[in-house]
Amino acid sequence: MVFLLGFLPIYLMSSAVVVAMLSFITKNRAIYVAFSAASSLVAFIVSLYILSLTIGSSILVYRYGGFPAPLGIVYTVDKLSGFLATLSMFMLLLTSIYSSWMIRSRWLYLYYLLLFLMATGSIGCLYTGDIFNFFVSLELLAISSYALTAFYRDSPRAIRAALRYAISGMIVTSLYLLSTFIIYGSFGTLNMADIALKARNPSIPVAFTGTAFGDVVISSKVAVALITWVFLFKSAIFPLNFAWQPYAYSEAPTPVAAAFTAISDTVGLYGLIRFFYTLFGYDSIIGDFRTSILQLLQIIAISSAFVGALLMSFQRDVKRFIAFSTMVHLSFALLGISLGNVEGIASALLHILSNTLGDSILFYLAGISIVSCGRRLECLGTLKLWRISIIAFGGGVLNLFGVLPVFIGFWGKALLVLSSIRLGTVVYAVLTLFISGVTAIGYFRVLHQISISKANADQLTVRDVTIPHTLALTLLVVTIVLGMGFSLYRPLMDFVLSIGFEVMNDYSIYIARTLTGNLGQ
Amino acid sequence: MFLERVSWRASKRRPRYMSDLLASLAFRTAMIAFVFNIAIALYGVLSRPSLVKKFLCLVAFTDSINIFAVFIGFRYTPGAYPSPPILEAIPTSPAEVETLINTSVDPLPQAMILTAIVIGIACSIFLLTLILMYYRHYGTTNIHEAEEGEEPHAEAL
Repeated sequence: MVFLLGFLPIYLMSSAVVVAMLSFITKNRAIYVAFSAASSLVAFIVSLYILSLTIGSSILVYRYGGFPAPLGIVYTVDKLSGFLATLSMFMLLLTSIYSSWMIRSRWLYLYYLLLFLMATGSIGCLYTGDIFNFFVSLELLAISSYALTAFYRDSPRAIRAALRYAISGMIVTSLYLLSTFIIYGSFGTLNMADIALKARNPSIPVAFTGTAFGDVVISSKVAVALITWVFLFKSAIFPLNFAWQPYAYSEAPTPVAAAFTAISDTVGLYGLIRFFYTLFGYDSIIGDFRTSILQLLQIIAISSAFVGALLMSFQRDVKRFIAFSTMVHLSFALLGISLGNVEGIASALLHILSNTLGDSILFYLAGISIVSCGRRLECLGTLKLWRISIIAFGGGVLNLFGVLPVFIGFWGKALLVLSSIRLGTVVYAVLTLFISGVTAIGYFRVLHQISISKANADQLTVRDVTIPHTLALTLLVVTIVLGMGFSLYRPLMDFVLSIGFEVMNDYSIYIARTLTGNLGQ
Repeated sequence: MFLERVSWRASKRRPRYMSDLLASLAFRTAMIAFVFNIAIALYGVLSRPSLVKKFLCLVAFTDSINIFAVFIGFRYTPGAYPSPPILEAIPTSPAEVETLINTSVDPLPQAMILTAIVIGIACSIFLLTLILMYYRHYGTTNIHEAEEGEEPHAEAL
């Protein structure tokens, strides 16, 4: 069943094309929606199946065109990429359904086209085992995100946000290309497993690519330094997120802003994990350089979380508020990655998961108030018209705040604190708790704002809110079930920890499976 | 590093021909020009207020990176011209294969540049469309002028 790895991106790409072709036959919105929801449901099921395969046989390898690993492009999927891809496809499914309610534009088919292209880029980035193929997928992901940001092209602010995002994004992806060339120039290969092998032992000969040559250490350092900045940009960490994130999140259509976290931002964090653990691990030739970069990343992550928490507490625009909340959570995820132990990586994954779910609840319900009133925080008072909205919104906020153990958000923070205590750096545990306390100002300010704002039922333009309510309640149930599951059912926690363990220690299996052609299944 | 990969022979061994010396000189000049090009292009993107000039600098930036990849694939052997990676005679002899391996350039970076250029064209066209829309909204492509006359609380969905 390994062919499914190669099937999924091609399937998503052809879904995009089919949506565009449907527009020649019919202008019926219901058909676009039905097709997109159905095909994203299939994509979600396929990615879930791939995740279940990785649990059984650890690493799956799919060779494009049957070429063996360093010669051709391979897709290599371990538990980490399987997990993140499942999350990404889950958000694609929810976004497809929610967009049918939110997007009233007559260009709905172009919207779905871009959405599927973005998902293709995301899957390509997560599954690929080749750094140049990663670049191509990254560009696909990036261009479709720029275009989705500019989807409301009649709004000058949307155009400006998209221009900001596109110009800075093009610089960054070009820098990624530069570091790809540098790696190719010194390692003579583009395959991730091959680079991982040669980064540990430069003189080892590999079929088709030979040995590394020249001063591998300096070129690896240059490439890793550039790539670190690229991924910090993609995952919206503090100094670089002001280039795009608050603007893109607030000007993109609401469903897309909810999808950015899972589909686009996680790719940056995934790339960091891949490069700092699988490719250039602690025992590679740049081990000491990597350690100092990770220490720098810890400081960046803490300051980014702190700045995000402060900025969050005085936003007047609900979408910008959620954007800064995302920034805090992704910074915590970065802290987990840079701490460099099993619990840290597990906590990063849980942060990504809980932030995706919580953000989507907030965005989906805020969509109701945005449609009927506006983007100001006071408009959230509209939600008081429905009891379900208030319950789900409160649940989403509490999940993001992450203090109650019934929500999944708690376990991310708990593992992060545990990880920093294990490492002997109690200061990070204290800072994490302190910053979580600072985020409370922002979160409870929003809840307070809802309670004091007036709900005006007369001006309400939307009557049917079944879709946002169903989706938000589904997501809330998922967060609670996962949160309770982590408390009561040990194998869930073991699964997340096993991903961390695999990332930390099993790079040799990754290399061996990819290069020796032992195809697993 | 990759620099040495191309120029090590020229530095370690005494060049035999005038053309070697010239080639080495040209190579170094090109590398320095590459670094300066990247720096100037980045400066242009960051500091020019006009979006069209930003776009031009961006294209210069991506293209200098693509040219850098040509240097990665280039192989310089003193006294021999680099040849394209093509075997002319079929069936071939071991001697011809050896000559090919010793003198031909690496074709893979060129394939990568081709991909990068195609992607870059898509990006450029998209960016130009955005700049055109920006111009239609604001009547100028200068970001400083455009932001002066903007109403602060424009809202979109």
